Amino acid sequence: MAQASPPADDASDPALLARYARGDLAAARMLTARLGPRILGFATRMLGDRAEAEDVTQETMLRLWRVAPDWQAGQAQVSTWAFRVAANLCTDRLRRRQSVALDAVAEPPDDAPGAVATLIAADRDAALQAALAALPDRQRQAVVLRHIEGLSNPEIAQIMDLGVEAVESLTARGKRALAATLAGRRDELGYTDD
Amino acid sequence: MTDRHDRTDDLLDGWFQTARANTPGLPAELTARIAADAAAHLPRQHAGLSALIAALGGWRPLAGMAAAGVAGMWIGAFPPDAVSDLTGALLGESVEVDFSDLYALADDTWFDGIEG
Repeated sequence: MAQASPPADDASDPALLARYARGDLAAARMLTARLGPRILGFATRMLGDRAEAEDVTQETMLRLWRVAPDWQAGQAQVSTWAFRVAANLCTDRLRRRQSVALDAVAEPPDDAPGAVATLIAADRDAALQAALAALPDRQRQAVVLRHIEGLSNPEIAQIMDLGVEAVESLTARGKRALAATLAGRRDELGYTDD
Repeated sequence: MTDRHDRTDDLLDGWFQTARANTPGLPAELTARIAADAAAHLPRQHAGLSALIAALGGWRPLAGMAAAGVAGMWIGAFPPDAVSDLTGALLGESVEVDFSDLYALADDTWFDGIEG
């Protein structure tokens, strides 16, 4: 059998999925490199637990491999589909939790000389993560997808199975709550110098 | 309302920028787990059967062909009276053929030719 040429870097996600469905593992590697970090970042923000987020990422990609032979071109964006699967997996895990453990938020790194900027960034990120964790799940999901993952409101509406206006409302309420929580920490974390 | 949204966005913009910059990379161990799953579920082993079924028009026509085949075998093995009467009418009466004269003719011409 003739060896297929490797997929091009600019190949679309559906094209890569179709290549995988025809037996091309290189296409699966490219899809993993594109989608994996985004799903992992989203799941980490949603769950506040890196190990659980990694499991969600693996399970999301596994479901993508399984659906590949039946994928209908044009049915949805592959990334939107993957975020929807990941969001549902996160929701299932959050529901199973009896309460959110306070120590689930990542610890800031230890002091290290010459790394002030890194420490401030890590502190800022930890503060944002703590504020996100205090939001209701749906608000957190909408804010993370919109403002950290950079998805459009119609894409988020598909992922969350909502109308666009409902997404806008969730995002606005989430941002107001975040702003109220973080306002008191701006000076502490150096945002007045920005 | 819009002003309020703008002030909120301004306040949060730096926080979101930091978060985007801190998006985690995919750890090598997780990449390996995902790659192993992809290899384990590679659809290649079913490609031949899938292609054959697709060439025949999918599962539904294939099921129809299978049903027709079974029905044909059943009718051939256990023909109803109507089918027996019909075949009799179409093919006529049976005919007996005696090949002994043909053998005798072959003996005369073939063997004579060989012997010169």
